[in-house]
Amino acid sequence: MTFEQSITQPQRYKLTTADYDLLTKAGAFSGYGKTELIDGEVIAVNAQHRPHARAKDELAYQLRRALEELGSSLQVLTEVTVDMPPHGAPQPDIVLTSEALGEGPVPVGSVAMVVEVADTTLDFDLGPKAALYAAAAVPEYWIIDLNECRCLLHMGPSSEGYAEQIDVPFGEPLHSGTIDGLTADTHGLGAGEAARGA
Amino acid sequence: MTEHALVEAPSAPVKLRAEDFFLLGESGALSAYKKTELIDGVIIALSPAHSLHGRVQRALFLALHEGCEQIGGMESAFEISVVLGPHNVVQPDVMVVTSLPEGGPLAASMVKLAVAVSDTTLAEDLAKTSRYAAGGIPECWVADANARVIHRMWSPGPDGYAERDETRLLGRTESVTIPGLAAEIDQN
Repeated sequence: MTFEQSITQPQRYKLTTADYDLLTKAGAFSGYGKTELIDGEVIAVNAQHRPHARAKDELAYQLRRALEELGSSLQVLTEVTVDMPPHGAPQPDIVLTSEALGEGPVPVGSVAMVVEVADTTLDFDLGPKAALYAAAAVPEYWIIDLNECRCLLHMGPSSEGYAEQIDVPFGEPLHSGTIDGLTADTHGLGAGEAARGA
Repeated sequence: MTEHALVEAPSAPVKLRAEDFFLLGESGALSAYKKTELIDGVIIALSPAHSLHGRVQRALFLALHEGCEQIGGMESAFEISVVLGPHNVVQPDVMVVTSLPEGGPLAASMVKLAVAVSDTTLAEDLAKTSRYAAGGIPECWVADANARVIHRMWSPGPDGYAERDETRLLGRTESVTIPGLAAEIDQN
């Protein structure tokens, strides 16, 4: 027997969006309230509590009103799956898309902005989620940080991440960096005194 | 879905189940890989092209095939999926089994000896043996192709094999738990 060198190493198989769709339709994740595909890994997300739901609904309402006033073609969807091939199918809390109509997940090319409300998920939203959205070229990404009573606005996506992050405390107006004229009132997003008094 | 655990962390990875793994396999999603396994709910893929591994694997398969023929009642098998539990499906490089089904994966209870060949993955393969033990496979060999030794392990328990020793890869290696079975590999 002649022995030779070899170079193979085991590697984690990243699920594709097609794999995720196949497994979802087969009911593989029906035991979970919500799942997402992030960098080829299926992630289960806990049920939402009131502060999270209230901030999300309030912001979605404001954004919808603001977009209507602007006469924008963008529409607001909440908790919708966005197709980010090859290995991403997240369900952001809020999505601004130009293709709200139609079947299946929202195509990422139609997405102008995504928003995540973070109460217990800030590290994940700043880490793998931000990397995914930036790599998928989502132009703008907001994180509503309920614990620190601030909004983190991200712009300048690339495969390296977002180039710019702007920190806006609750109480100050949140101006979109990429959608002209779009502003959200951040009063009332938080639950405590810090939000009301900011 | 009763096997799914409750989500304890805000964002927790979902462990794929054996049936999810097989569904993906049937769909062709994993066909680019020579070999895939489900380890603790995560699919692990090995790429093709590792000649040292292949040579040792083939030598062990042929040796155990011959050994099985000599004792009767056992068969040698080559890279067939074995279900060790709800989230673990492994594909030992070589096995000695009680019988080979027409199709589909093997139950762990059918496997009497599992052999993993290591060239660049010795640490992973040695760690993997604890899953074989927890699955109740009576004996496991890890063949270290670089050091040219076989790590023999037996007496399985939930945390691994309680007993182990080392023998030379080249020459005659006897099974500890299967009476009369041996694999004889010469230097050619």
